[in-house]
Amino acid sequence: MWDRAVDGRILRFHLGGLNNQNLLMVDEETGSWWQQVTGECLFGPLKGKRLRRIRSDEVTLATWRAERPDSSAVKFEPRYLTEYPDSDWEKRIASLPANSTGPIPPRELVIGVELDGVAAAYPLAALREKSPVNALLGARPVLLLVAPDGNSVRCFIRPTAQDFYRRVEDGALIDGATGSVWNFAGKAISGPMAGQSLESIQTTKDFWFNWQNYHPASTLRIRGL
Amino acid sequence: MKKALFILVLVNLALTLGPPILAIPMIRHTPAMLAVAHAAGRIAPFASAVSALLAVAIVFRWRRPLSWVALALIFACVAVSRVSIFEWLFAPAGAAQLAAIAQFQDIRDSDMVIGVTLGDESRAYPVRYLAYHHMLNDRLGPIALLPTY
Repeated sequence: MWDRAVDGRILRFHLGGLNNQNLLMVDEETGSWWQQVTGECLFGPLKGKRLRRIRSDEVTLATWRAERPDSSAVKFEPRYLTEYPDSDWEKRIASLPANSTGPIPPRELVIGVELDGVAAAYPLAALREKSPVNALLGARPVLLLVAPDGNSVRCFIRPTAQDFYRRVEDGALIDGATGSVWNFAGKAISGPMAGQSLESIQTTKDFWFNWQNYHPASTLRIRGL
Repeated sequence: MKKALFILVLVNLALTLGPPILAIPMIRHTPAMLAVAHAAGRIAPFASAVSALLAVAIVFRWRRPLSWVALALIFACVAVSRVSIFEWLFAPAGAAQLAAIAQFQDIRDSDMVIGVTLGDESRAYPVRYLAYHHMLNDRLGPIALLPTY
């Protein structure tokens, strides 16, 4: 999710092409080419500029509706109803060729996170199994959470590396230090921390090859989650 | 005459077909290839218009069956260089039509959305919608937004 304003001018974007299977976007105003995944302008008069990222969440409709009952939603356009892919579209393109290195297939879905220049990717399947995951991104303690729906993922900054979050028998997420209960939105709903919220950071659900292509220094975290 | 017309056709085909061919998905793209594609895409609309005028002048004086074919090809380049081949494959989204989330039933509850909150306004973009259109030039409150997928 990007802010379309660049140096005070609002740009309109179109689909321009593909760069190693990631979209190139072209702006109407200058004809410059932009990389979708990084927001960087690669060619044209605005070369070198970067779009400002807007924090977004990738969650199920049910989760979003429960958390944001006042939200609006963008409707399908009636004339393209037959064009929109089905719910299982990610599985269907899983056989297209792609290249990556590492122990997982190129098109395995990962959750990519980045904080203070340190990038890491977690296989979604592993996160589903191990959530909540208390981890370190560089020196920064973070918490990766998968919602009970199995597909919504969020990442939060843990206040200190000593703050560990775990699930107790009834499914509640509690922190070890105070025993407060936290929800998937990162908010304490009962206990001594009630009302407090954890700061969230952007997560990107992506194919491993694409994440690796644009974050070549990223680690892949599988063991010890 | 004949040679000039032949060169005009070749140059225009290269400028017009080069960018989409260079930007097909299944090849390893290098920055140099993309730079060439971008430059060709930028000059193709102008170059094809000038070529069309030149070609008309040549065909005016050298009328053969083949010269009409050349003229038709150059006019095709004039048209194709002005549209996006990718927007034939994936139609651009029109202005966003909104529903209240409580009434929104275009997708299943288990389908994914990209959600954004700015100030006290929130909006959900169905991933299935973005997976086809790939982007939407939208606005939420004071911010011009570009959800992409």
